[in-house]
Amino acid sequence: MGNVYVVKSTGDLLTDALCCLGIFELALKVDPFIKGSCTLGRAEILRLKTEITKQDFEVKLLGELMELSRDPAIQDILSFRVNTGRRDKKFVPAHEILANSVKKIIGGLKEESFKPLLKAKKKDLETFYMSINPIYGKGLRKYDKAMDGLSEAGTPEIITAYLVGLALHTIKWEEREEKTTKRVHLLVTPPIGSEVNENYLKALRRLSILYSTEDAYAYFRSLENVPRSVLPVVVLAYFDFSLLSVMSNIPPHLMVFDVEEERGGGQASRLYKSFSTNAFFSFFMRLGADVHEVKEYIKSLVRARRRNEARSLIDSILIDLSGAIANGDAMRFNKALYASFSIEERLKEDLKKYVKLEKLRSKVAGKAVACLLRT
Amino acid sequence: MWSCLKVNSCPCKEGPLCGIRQGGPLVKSYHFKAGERPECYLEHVMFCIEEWHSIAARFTKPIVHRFASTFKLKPNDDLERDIKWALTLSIINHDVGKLTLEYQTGKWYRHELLGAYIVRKIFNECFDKEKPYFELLRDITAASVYLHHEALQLSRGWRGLRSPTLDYLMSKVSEFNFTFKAELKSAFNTLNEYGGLTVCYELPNNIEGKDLVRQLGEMISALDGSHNPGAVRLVIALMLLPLTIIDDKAAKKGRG
Repeated sequence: MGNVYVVKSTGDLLTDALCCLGIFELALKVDPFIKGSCTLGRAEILRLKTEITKQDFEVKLLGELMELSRDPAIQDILSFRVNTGRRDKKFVPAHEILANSVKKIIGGLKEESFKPLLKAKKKDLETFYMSINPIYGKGLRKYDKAMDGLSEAGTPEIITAYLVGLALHTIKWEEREEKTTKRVHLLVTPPIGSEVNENYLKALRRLSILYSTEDAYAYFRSLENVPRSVLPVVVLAYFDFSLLSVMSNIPPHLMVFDVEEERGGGQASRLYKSFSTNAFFSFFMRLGADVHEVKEYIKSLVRARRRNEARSLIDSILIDLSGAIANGDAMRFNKALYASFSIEERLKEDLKKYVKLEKLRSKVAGKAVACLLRT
Repeated sequence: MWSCLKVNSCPCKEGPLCGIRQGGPLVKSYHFKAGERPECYLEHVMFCIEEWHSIAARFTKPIVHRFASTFKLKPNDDLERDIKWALTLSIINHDVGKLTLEYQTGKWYRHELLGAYIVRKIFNECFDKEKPYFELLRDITAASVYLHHEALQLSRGWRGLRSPTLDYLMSKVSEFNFTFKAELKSAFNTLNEYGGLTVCYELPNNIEGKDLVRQLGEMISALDGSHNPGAVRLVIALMLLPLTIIDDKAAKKGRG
């Protein structure tokens, strides 16, 4: 493998993560045999090795990017509105931002284009709108600092790679409150500081393909307004056993952020959080042959959230489960199980079918508790 | 009285694995019930090899072309040789998961999982790792071995389950430990030699379920996470086609 393509950090973890996943997506289409490594949190975040010459590789990456930006499936995913703040065209769909940014890339997706984001107005930089990347924009980096008036900006290469990652590697769902609608994005990334290879990135890619299935869509829609602390356990319950085994040596991180669509001062984010999944991976892997039943149990609880009658009760069970696994607290796990068993009595007949508890009654529950006691 | 259908050509005739004088096969090809002909594992694989020789020319080229177009390669003699090797490997060893002490003594598990694991291991030992398509050809071949009873799994109720998912099977197999006895290991070597395949891999004494799950997890991630999973699945389906045809014909001959 003669040629190396190196992507440097933009100075923002979320942007780095989505750019890495987006570029790897394109690179794999250019060279199906590509090798590489990704280390978030370092100066060099992605290193790809290919037989194709660097210049050719950059041109082909752009070709794939152009094709992808025209893909109706991508346009559909990126159909949410972006607040540009412009008087002439305040709201545009995100795929239009992608298409416009792609047009501004000249000669190829050059590795030098990946550089730190700036709060500045420059000819070669594009505004990184808050509706896309919720961390910066005109928002404040310091809690009580005054607005500085300049928006965050990045090269078109960064914005397009980010949007490809956002479209293909995040699970998106909407949450409604009284007067606002939130768009929540959740992504699974390599952990900060750990080097992962192309096979790990392929596993993340497989995960993103699993998200796009009908079953996953229904499952993640059930996560509406779920307490954030339970996200690791409910997301990992959706991982199949092969993903758990491939990633168990380097458990990934979860990142979640939201964008509120309506509020007086324009779109803004109220949520940005990163979760470690180490404790949850360790728990699931220790369950061994019983992992299937425990995953089914957690998935059943999530599915049962679809009915409002039981939502708060189920959320409290999920909070207990999550806390029990994160802290190795067997008592709390037992409490969650006990509450789950009581659901059968407290819920109406038609809700019972969602919660599969039969198999947890005996040895599986015992094994799960034993796994927690060992942590 | 049981008689061997491959008595004239079996390389293990009169050897420690020969069941002619024992009244039945010593290496079982399946868990037969009353009224079914006990088929010898060696017989079954020899029938498969025979069938493969008769159809190899018809199937190899289309698979080579599909593989090449999927992975942006130019078809050439080298690629054709490699794919033919991979096909032959999968045909001779598709049931290698039955050579364990556990299977021979009647324990239930899906032997395809173990077969896919061993085929992947053989690739690791015997195939040129410098070739860019080494990993993908290895995983596609292993996947075709895993899927060679897919239709069977989808249509039958195994232990109360209508169609066990791979996720379910993998979680269950993780606590297994598979054992290969010396005489059954020799059957593996003899059959590969009989099929004209040089395999520089020895079956281990034990295979742990955890290792099997890790390897197959990698295989699934590599294939489903590849640049075009749909096209890759089509290549797997093409490799699966001769395997299922051959397996079916050989089983009909062996089981009557």
